[in-house]
Amino acid sequence: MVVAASLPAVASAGGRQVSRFGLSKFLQVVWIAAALLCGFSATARAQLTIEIIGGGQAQLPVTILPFAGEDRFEGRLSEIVAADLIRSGLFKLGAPGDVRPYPSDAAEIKFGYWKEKGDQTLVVGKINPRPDGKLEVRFRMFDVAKQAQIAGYSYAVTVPQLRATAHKIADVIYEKLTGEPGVFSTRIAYVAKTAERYELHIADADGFNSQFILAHREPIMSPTWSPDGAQIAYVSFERRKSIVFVHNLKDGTRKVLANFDGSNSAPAWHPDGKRLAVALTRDGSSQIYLVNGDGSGIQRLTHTTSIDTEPSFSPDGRTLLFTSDRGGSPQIYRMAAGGGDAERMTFEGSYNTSPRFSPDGKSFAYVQRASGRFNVAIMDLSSKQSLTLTDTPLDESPTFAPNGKLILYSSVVENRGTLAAVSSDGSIKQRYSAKAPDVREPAWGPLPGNRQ
Amino acid sequence: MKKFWSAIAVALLVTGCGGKGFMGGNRASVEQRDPFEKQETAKSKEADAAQEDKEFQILKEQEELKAKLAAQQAQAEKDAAAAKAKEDDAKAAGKKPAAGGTDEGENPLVAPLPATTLTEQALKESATAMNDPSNPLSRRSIYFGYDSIGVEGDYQQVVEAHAKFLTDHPQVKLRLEGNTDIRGSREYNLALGQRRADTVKRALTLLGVAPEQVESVSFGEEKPRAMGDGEDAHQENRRVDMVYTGLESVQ
Repeated sequence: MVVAASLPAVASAGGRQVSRFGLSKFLQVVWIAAALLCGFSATARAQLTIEIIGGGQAQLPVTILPFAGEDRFEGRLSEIVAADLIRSGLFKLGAPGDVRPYPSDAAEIKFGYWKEKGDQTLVVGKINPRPDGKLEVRFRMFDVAKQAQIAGYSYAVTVPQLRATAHKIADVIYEKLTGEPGVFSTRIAYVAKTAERYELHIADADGFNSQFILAHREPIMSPTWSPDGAQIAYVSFERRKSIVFVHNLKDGTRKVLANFDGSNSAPAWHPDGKRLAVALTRDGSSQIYLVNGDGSGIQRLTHTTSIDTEPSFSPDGRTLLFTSDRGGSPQIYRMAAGGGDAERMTFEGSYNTSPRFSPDGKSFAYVQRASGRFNVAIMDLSSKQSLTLTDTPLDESPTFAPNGKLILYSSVVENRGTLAAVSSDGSIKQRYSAKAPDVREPAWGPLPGNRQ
Repeated sequence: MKKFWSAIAVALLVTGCGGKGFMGGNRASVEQRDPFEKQETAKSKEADAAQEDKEFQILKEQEELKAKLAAQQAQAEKDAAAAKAKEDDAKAAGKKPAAGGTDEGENPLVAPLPATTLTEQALKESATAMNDPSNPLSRRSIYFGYDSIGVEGDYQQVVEAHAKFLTDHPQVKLRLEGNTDIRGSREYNLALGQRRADTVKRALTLLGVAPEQVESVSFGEEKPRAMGDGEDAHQENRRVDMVYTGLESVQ
């Protein structure tokens, strides 16, 4: 079970059949990113590549045929769709069969053949030029046994939008087969450290199209997306101390949210998108405050002499989880979003930090230290049972995919920061690697539907 | 090291791998951040230039100081020579030191001895002490135990030396930068580093330093001085650095 196939995503030279059969047979797939086109220009870009380490339990079978007309474009659409589904760990990709040309619409499918071959779900599609210069991407998804269409969509797009279209199609297939929304069209933020500077990057969930929105010589940490995906709050040390900024992704403008004496950090958006919780040391040790999105109306929520930090709002906005060492060691606590008494949530071990509410509010991810290792764990809020999800020594900064199925986190491999993801039941693991010396501090953005 | 990276950057530019080349997707955003990139380079050039200026300034100052010292020494030698000549003259004149004699009567003449008024002035620690390895002022990092904020052992002595220096030189400002090792939560570590810096600040103010003279900030685990995850590296990274400004006013 080593590397089954490499899919040069942009340089789509050869290897097509190999990769397709490889995908169907093996779980371990390595994505070689566009960065390879440029040799090993290691410091130039923090393009991410993703490797699947472990597979899920029962996998859903789906066969995706090459789309008619897709060969004319960089990055074959059907391969991007297939790679998305493979990476989720939930699907088993079927071989494309012997029918040539590949069927690309309902009328061309002889269901008997696919049924005989053992396929259950078949996806076909095509790309046609439109009179207005755009492209029309059509796809249909069939239940082979019932000979019935499960879904069918048409998109009018430009060439640069083809990747996004593939992610959209993968989202449709994912949702139809699992009942949960797909997260292939979402974006992630992370911090890349090069030899010269720190860069705050935004990339597609598959690591492609990475570009930085901020770069300077001082550290950047704790990026976090606003609920509508239009803004990112983060901590920047560009003025030689920690200051919280809110960055508008549309126009690139940004404003200082908190710049008081001492440290200003740990921004967390309230689900209403109008307020944020932050950790400030302006009144002594680190305490949690609530502040309006423009930096006004600051209100203190904790009143201790201990370190209180890393607030995370429940999806309904009523509850806050946070880290505090009020009991002598850093542990996770829960309190009402308006402040007041806090209830300790973690009792195992002497170091539990970085709580993040799951999107459904029923559990939270956090980092626990056990036997000198820092690992991502998840705790169910009703049973208070926790499950350790990762096993590398220095895992931190967990962040949920907006459908709650995957948790992205940072890890250290050979003294280099890297990103990894694990399913919330621990069964599927993915490792992201970047052609940059060091990546860390991931933050998974919201579903596109939440975007304005 | 810097040269090495710039060589790589040049190589990349030459081979056309500069960046935009393989940034697929959103062209608008790529262009949008171009000016930023330029600004960055301009800024860093500016910073380099400023650094060079500063270095040149320091060299110049050192030269001037050397010349001044040489002149002072020459003057001192001249003064000493003059004093010696005067003493020799006095001896030649046969002047005897005054002494009480028994031939002057029963009552001894008691001459009051003029009081020698010695004005004592404490010498302030000079800025050069900062670089004298035998002086505690040369130690400008305070180290801490794991998850600890206590100033321990001989670091108390270091803090005291800096407190004295700061009270002697109220125009000097000190920045305390708290750091932690790389293990654990970045945010918790930021708070922990801040707490370490604040602890040192409190120790200084208790020793009489004006709070306005000292700023405490934290870098948490973001700027490790030692790389790697061995205990030596961790120990090296758990520290508060003392960064002075306004030292040029101290001579």
